[in-house]
Amino acid sequence: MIRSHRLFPILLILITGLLTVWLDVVSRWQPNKRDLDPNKPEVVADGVMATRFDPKGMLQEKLIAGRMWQYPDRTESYFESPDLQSYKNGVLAYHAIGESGRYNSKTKQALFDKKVTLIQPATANQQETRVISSNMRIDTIRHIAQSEALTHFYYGKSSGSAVGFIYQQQAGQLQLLSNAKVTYEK
Amino acid sequence: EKADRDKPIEISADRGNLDQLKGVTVWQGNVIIIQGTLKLNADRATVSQDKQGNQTMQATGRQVTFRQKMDGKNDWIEGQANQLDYNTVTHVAVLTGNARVKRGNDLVIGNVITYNTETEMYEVSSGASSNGGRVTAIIQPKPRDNSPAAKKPDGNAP
Repeated sequence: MIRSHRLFPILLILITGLLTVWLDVVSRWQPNKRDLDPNKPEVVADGVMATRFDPKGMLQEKLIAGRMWQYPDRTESYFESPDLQSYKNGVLAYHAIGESGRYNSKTKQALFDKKVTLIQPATANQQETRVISSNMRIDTIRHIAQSEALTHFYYGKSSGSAVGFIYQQQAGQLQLLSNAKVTYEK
Repeated sequence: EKADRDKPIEISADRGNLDQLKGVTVWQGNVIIIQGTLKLNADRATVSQDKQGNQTMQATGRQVTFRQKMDGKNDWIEGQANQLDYNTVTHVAVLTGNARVKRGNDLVIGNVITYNTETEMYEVSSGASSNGGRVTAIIQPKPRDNSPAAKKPDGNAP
């Protein structure tokens, strides 16, 4: 009798311990969670068109791509033949067409890491501007495009080149960082 | 020469800044501007373009120099100054500060020289310089024409 009397608390501790371990394991177990390979895309989409609207409901940004993919736990999306279009009051302000690129949804920065063409359409008092480079970074919040590479630009019949540029689209400022050349044609 | 006007303008420099909204471009560092036979060198050049495409250009530097072939002749006109302002409507270049213009063998020196690239005429003044500087002009005599046709019946040259 005495033995069972002493055995009961030990058994009770043992059972409680087992119960705690079991509950811990169960609470962590996620039915479909499997360890993803960080170097393999978690999501792949073909023929993508993503659209963003401004608070007034007008078209603000459109991203068209042949293919888009994303790696596990990363905020960057990768694109093949992306066409990033930026609108102002629903009117196309500029768009950048590249061979490939990536977009960070947290910083809102787009990086075109291969040949890319930035086009600002003609307006009533400005001719079309085209900027072509081998890579380009675009801040889609401040609407600034820049590159350190050799870049060619075309403005109406005039054309030019430079090594490195910064283009502040809203201010209409194009800075040519070095080896600047331009040919004005009427 | 006159044909230069219709030629493209080529500008090269270390750096450039284009302001599309104002139509103003600023070029800095070893600036070279070429239009036909006209060639200009400066440290800095500001080119403004109005809606009609007319341009005004201001070039500054330790020494702005330009060179242009004269119309229909194998002669050149060369100029230098601290500052050069040019207007594509009036075709007038104003050289200011230690200005010199050499046309063929003729040379004028002053503080301000106004040169009309259309008429190839220039006007030199001492400008508003404080010491009331003087102007200098060295005009080479035309070479005497000794050909027979030029001689008078009495045998003397005209």
